[in-house]
Amino acid sequence: MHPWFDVTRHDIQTESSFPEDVVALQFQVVHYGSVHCVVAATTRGIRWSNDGAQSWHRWIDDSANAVVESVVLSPQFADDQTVPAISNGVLVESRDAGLTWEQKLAGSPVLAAATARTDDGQSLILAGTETDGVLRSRGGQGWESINAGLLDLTITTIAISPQFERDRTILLGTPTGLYRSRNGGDAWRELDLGLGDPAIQAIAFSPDYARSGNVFVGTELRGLFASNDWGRTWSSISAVPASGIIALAYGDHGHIAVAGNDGSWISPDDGATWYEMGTGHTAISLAVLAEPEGMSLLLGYAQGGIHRSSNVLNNHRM
Amino acid sequence: MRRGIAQIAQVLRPTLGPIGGTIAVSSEIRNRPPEILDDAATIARRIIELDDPFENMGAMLLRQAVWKARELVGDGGATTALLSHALIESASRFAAAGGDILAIRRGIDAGVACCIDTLDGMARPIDAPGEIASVIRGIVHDARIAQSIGEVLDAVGWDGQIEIEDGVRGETEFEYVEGIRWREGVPSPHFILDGFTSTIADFPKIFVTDRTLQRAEDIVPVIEACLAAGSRSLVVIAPDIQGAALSVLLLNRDRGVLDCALALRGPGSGKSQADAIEDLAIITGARCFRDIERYSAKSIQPDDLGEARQIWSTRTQSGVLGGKSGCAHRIPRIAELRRRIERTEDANDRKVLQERLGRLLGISAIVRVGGATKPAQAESTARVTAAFAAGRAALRHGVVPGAGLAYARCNEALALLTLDGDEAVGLRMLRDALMVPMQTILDNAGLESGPIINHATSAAHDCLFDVVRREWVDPWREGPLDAVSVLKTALELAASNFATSITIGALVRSRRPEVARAP
Repeated sequence: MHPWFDVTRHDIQTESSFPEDVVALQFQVVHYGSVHCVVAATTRGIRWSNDGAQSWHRWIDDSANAVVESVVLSPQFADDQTVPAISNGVLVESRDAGLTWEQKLAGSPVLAAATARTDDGQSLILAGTETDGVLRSRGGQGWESINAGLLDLTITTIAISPQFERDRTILLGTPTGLYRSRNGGDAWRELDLGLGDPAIQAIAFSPDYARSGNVFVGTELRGLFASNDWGRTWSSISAVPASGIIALAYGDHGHIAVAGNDGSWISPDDGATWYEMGTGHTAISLAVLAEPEGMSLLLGYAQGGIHRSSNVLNNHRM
Repeated sequence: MRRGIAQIAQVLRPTLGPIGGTIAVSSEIRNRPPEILDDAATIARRIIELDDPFENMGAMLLRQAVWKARELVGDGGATTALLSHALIESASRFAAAGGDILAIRRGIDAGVACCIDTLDGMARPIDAPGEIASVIRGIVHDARIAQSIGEVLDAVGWDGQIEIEDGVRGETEFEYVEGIRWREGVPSPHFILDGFTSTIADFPKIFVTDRTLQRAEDIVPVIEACLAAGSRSLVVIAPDIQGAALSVLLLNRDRGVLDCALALRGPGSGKSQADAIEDLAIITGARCFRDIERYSAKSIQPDDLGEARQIWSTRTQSGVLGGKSGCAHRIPRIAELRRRIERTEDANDRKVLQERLGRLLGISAIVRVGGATKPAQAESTARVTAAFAAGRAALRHGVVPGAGLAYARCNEALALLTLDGDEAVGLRMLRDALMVPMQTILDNAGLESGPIINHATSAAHDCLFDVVRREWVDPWREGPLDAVSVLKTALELAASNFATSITIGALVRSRRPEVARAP
């Protein structure tokens, strides 16, 4: 059994709820057979939940209290138990599902990371740094700099197409613009949002991006932008009035959630209509969970703790 | 003249389409194998002269039009030739029967204008690598190379810098160049230490000027500014550095005042070098000290020096990685260059501007064309060059269904145009000519063209017969597609060539003087 699902292990601590004094900095939803596993990068280690964020688990070891800014599970996670993560600006990797960690990159602080599987079955890891642009590792080999075409070498966010094996598309955000590669990162080209040089903070691909062409981008000061033609043209989403977008999460069936510096919103139809969540707190991390009774939304609050809204859209439509 | 045009058209006819044939052109040098070519423009260029002087005039007129198509849009040479030939043949017969040739010309001109509007209305933009590949697959005849060219154009843009050179391997290779690289090395071999082939300066301070530095006074304030900025690594970018200035810079390195000292010649020469040096100042965030402003070296301040992650140089090449300029300076310059590239019609000016744009964008691509033999490599280079030109045209102006279907749709649009008398006859000639490319592509693929043309032209939606896959396809989903500017250019050149040829009243040739023969 995969160690993350064997919660009877003595080295795993189970918490009946997410601690109020821990900040969830980022969520990732992974599918493991029929189970949806939510993984949280937090100010005190990595936590995961196998029951829709009701209860949480974590390793009891030296890494338990480390600040983890981001967790990017390998596409082959179920098989190889590889977990790349960013901890205190350093890219680390565990090959035993998080029990032990190894530093992978020295030098400029790593601000963003992403993983994907290449068309020849290798795992791809991208690391976006503060001053050295993007670094790429294929199949666990060494790291190479892939900055051809980047005008800004500070990388704030990276998103890889869900159909990367076919379309080899990657988007990345910088403090001065959005860049796209359609050859696996070999070369980058700036995309024009029609705004000058917007600072990009979050990017979310639709799970069926290859067919729909839907992708959303959140900026620091200019709000939310969407493209439905694979990034060719962009339009501002005025229905989401937040000027600063902190996090985006795209779930199944066209559900997209947005966390801004003055509220959170969710759309059930790829951004055509929006509902404000009105929780009264600022969320800095998001996840959309598909559950039998409907979509649930998971919000990580800036002051600590999480909020889970079950069947969120039916509640808001009433 | 008509016979000369027909000869050229007949030679180029087999090359049209993805299953076009090749043409063997004998070498001027004895014992050399013939060149095997399938690119219409190159073949036309190899035809130096026809035996008959009057036939030769027609041939050379058409040859010029075919090459012009290559120069303007990179493709469409065979189409230009076939359309020209079809128009001139039918108009010549009509003229021989006493028809009004000027009315024919007016009818054709009106039809061409209608076709241009129809093609523009039909065109759709493309930008994905796969879409670009579907436009050029018929040119390079290799799916892998077509896809790679699509990716390169997607990355660098239609106006980006792409160098095509001979490779040393059998396969064609594609490389992206990160940052900036140019073909000028160090001005003195002393900048490269013994036992090394290059010098690398990490995180240097960078002084940029378009003045050749010669005196010690030119360089001493620069070294002082570098040290005042807290750095002991200095790079000087200038047209040249000579004499005492060179000695002082090397002396300060050798005595340990500077850990690293490097001087680089700016790219290009003359005015273009001054512009390129100014670009490098923008890229590195340096102030560009211009000779024309008669700057004083004493005025150089630490803040005037630029920065980069790395600068490297060999004896023949130099490069900058991670110039520390702000986008605020680079982006207006990029926009200005793009406007100039859009406007310029001179191929050489465009090339220089594209090189500068590539440097400012921090990306360019090198294509190393492979080939089993020199002739095969030359042929591949011609194909790759044409494919990039057609891909650029497609990205810039959009695409229409290929395999002659777009011209067939123009033919349908012309059916709605009402003209009278001999003008209507001219229109009819143009409509017939527009079907020639589709018919020729099918003939070249060994297919019976009649039923296929009937089906393609009677279908309510766009569908065409892909002669490679031998099946009906939706061109918008599966290709083949043509760059709309290639079809427009071919049509306009054919009409222009027709107008020139058909209105000529007499042919005059100079008699060659008798050559005295030795007894």
